[in-house]
Amino acid sequence: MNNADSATPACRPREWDLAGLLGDDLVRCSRCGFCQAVCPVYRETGEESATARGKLSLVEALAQGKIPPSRRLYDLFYRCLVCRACADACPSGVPTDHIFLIARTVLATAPAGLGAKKIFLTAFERPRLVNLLVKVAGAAWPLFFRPSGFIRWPANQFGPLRGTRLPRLSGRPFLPRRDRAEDEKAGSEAGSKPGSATALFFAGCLINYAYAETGESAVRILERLGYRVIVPRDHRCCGTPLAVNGETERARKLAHQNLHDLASTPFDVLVTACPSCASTFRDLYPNLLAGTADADRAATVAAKTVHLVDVLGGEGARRLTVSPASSVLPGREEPFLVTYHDPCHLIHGGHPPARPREILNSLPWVRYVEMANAGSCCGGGGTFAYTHRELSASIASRKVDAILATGAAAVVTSCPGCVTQLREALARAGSSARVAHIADLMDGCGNTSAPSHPREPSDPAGTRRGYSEGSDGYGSGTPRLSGR
Amino acid sequence: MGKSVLPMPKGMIGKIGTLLRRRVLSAAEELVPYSFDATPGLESRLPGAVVFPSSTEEVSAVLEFADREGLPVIPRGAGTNLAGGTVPTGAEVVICLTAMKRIIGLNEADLIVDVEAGVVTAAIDAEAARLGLFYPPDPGSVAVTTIGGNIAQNAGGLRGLKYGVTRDYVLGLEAVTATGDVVHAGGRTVKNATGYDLAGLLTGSEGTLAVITGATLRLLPRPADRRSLLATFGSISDAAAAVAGLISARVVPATLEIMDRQTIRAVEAHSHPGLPGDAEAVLLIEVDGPAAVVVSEAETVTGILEANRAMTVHRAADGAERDRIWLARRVALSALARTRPTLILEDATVPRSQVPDMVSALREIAARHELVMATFGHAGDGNLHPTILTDRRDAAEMSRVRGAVDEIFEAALRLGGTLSGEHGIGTAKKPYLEAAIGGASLAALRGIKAAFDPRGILNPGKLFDAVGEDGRP
Repeated sequence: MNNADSATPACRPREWDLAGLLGDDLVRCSRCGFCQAVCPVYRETGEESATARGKLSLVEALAQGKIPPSRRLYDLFYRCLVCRACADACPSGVPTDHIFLIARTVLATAPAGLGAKKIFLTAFERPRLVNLLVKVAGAAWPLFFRPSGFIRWPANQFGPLRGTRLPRLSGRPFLPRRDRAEDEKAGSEAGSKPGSATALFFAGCLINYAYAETGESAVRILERLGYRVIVPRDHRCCGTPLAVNGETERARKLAHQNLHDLASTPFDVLVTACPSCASTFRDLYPNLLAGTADADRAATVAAKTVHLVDVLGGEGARRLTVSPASSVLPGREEPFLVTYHDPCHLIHGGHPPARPREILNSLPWVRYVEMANAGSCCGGGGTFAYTHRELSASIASRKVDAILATGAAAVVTSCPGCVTQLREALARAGSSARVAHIADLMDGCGNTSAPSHPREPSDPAGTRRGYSEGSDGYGSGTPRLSGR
Repeated sequence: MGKSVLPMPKGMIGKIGTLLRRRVLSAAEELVPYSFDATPGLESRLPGAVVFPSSTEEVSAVLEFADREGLPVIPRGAGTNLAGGTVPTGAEVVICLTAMKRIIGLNEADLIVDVEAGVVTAAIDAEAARLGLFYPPDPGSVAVTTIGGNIAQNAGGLRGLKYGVTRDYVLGLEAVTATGDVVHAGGRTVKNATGYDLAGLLTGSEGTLAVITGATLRLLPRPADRRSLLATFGSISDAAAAVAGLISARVVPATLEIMDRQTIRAVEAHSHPGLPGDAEAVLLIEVDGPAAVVVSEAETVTGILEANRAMTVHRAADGAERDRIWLARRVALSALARTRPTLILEDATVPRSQVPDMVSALREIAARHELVMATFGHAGDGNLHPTILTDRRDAAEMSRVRGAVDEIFEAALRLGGTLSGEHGIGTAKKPYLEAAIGGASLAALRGIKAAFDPRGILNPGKLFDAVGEDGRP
């Protein structure tokens, strides 16, 4: 971790200047307005500054000196989930998300009053500090948060943190893994038949600190699928929170450090259970490091990066034996009604939406129902849910409506950020629908070792509402009707 | 608060804000995204302010205020106008109708739907589809554009040949005049011979006579079945002649689209729908109606195409094949956009019988001006979209483009056609209007404008310049 060697990349970073942007990318915007149809923020605000073409016009005006890099401009650019729906929908193929990140880079230097944000962002570069903070937070958790995960009164009723519900910081992050030696042995027995592929599992911050069990599930799944699984010794952020906040140089440094570490262990495939981390390795790193000494390494890793859904899709899920009784969803004999939410960075990152649906349809005790607009954003957007609470909640409420309309008992998704957002939104709406990461769902199927959580007693009538505290190893994973 | 950039007095903005008790956009950063629409190559200017009224009363209040203060206004929906109709020319207040987005009610007994102006057109058809009904006009921007905008432009679409255009579906309108009065034009009945056809007049008036706030639209029963066909031709004139052949055989498909070689190549490179590489032109056809009729009509069409020198005629066997055919048409513009950054899409329309001559004229104009031009469009109703592929940063080429566009209009008019089948006049085609409709008609239009908007505050500078006694252009 943070070796002196890898602290300063021995390369000249590519210069990103706005004037250079007025090249082929920006001019291709024909202002057709098709981005309006897919933008989750435009849907709420109806203002053109939310749309891709609106923001591109602002980039152009900024580059031409027609408007200053003001705080107001900064705010307009941050009123964006970076969900990439616009990049996906653009008929002219304008790389809107990349242009927005460049704009944020330029704007990061300009406005005042961002001290708190800059301090917050340093956390992503200091894993050891965060480990300590998380241990403290884990211990102090019950003082501030109820077992349901909702923040305690009075913050729950008043002020900007009203209605906040966070995943339980267990104080024991995914990395470093204490039982790693045992895992290596188990892994090498289970998975290292001659010729078995090596999978490097990259947890990412949210799984590392808040959903360690999901990380464990993912590792177990990979092992049962015959991979030899390795994990980095220590956690390091992929760098996307920095890149998305305009701190391009600092993101580049993290990218360099990550790639340096990855180069020291051979692996066949890099698997992550977080779509944002996946798209960081696949798209952001090659972009960030183009023209530097790391460019080739970035390209190699990008080609090897997959999301767990890619591994589970197709044949993968069928090779896991299915056992509803040990699933994260309450065991039942009748088909369990389940729906799926597409995380933005999967559906707009080139991952076919059919795959997770194939996985769910392969479970005989699951009856899959498609929700309306399954591919539209949940409103989480990483830190967006905390920097733009009302907007995020508005967007989430559309998701909640769609989920409730299906009557599903659970919504499955493949992103820990979406899991967090959906759990909060559903709980706020008083719904008892459960939210499960697909890794946890599939891990519970045929898991021969002890499950990481005690099983729910079966609930044939399906009338159970709310669950007792601590009965689910997620801690905050269970929504309560009376969660306020 | 940012400074507003144009001469919109701060006090004025404050007054509008108080009036509506709503957010008024006035800072430069907020106004830049309202300085353009989807029309390429137009100079952008900042409006004075943007407001988002959420009811007819609020629109009325804004217009009353604007009338009192002599403030020019621009009504705007999604801003996907293709002729500059929503582009500011000088410090106007943009009245953005997107907050008025309710589908008020669908009346199954009468087959009508009441909507507010800001509803996205695709949402209307989706709502109708739930009940087995159909709102036919489907311009390319249907998933983005607002119905108010469609009405103001009399938008067309791919189904125009069989189903007509927006005007054919407007039964009644609610609109606010330049003095803030709310008028109800037309009604809720299919037939209505009660006074001047005010609803018809406002349809296509491009925001210059009144601000449309709501509409009552006619719906049709949704066709039970449909069949799609793709025919390839060795020359674009053959394809154009086949179009004429179809119509003279009294076959009216729901959709009859043409694509030239340029377009075919771009589309194939973009999404590989499987278009034959050696085709000089293709026709994409859809027939719809009751199941038995559709099958026999598809056969009839096939026969006519083969008799008109079609190289191949392929009937889609299932939904997937049908989708592939229409994907080819839907991505035409995107595919062309990937070849060069700026697309100048024109809209010149001729009587259907003149399509072959128009197609030749287009090719000759492109060659003479040394421009790359792709042609696709609604061949069935003569509404072609010659699309010049260029780069707005190349000043020399842009000037040749302007010359070519002039000649395209001249050619269309010479062949008995019009300047615009569906995109409207806006600012982009203003210079050609008198030549297209004649001096006497233009004088009549000016008279109507003066009657509706004596102070000239509604979307000034669009369609034509009113010549008033005060000498104001």
